[in-house]
Amino acid sequence: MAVITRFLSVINIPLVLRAQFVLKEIATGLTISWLSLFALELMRPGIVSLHLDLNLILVLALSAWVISILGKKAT
Amino acid sequence: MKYLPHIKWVIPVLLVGYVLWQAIIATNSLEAVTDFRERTPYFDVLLPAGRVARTDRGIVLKQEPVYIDVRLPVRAKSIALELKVTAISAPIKLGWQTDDNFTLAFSQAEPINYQGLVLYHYDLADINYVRPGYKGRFIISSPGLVPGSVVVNGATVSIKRKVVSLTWFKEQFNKILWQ
Repeated sequence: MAVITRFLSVINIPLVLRAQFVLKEIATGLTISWLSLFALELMRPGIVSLHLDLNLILVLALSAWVISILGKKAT
Repeated sequence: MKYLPHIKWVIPVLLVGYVLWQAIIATNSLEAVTDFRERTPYFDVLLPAGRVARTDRGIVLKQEPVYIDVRLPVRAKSIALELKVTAISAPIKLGWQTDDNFTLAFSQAEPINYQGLVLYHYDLADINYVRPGYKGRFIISSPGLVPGSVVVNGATVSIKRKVVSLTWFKEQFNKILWQ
């Protein structure tokens, strides 16, 4: 956390806050997507998994949440 | 800045829209390749697992018959399977399960020798039956199989899709209604 804080102190804080906001929006969007796609997949197996990787979307969503939360705590 | 809060809706619209496009509108053929070493979205591993063995040469058949389950997309119309085999002893037959009673329809196509492999083809022009989970089942049958003499190296499947129409929507609606 100290490393992140020190890193953030040398860059533009408003920029970091905006980036954190964007990342939170992306994480929310990916989470809504994953929930919708998971529901579709339950209704009809293969409708999503044959074209998109649900696990990848979940990993991206969780990563975005983690980075967003870390960024918010650091600022 | 005023458009940033809309990002959380643009992403689901794009992803769900793409899936619905593939499900309802897209008519291009879908192709998938596997070496049967692991599950893919289209292919399961060769079943039953106890009748096959993984080796460096490929998947060796210890007993027959062996099944290939293929997950079918929405509006699947026809399916074509190409099976690559290194066969040393008895030839094999490719079949397709046509109903719940395990009735099989075998391919009459002659195998083709190509670059040291034997290619077996199964072309099904009209998919009338799907197994639970929206899968189709191919059967590899080799009466007189000598265990270890048939090695499956991989498969390619090509699935054509129906053009969506009002009739198709009615069929789907009736299926949901009477399920």
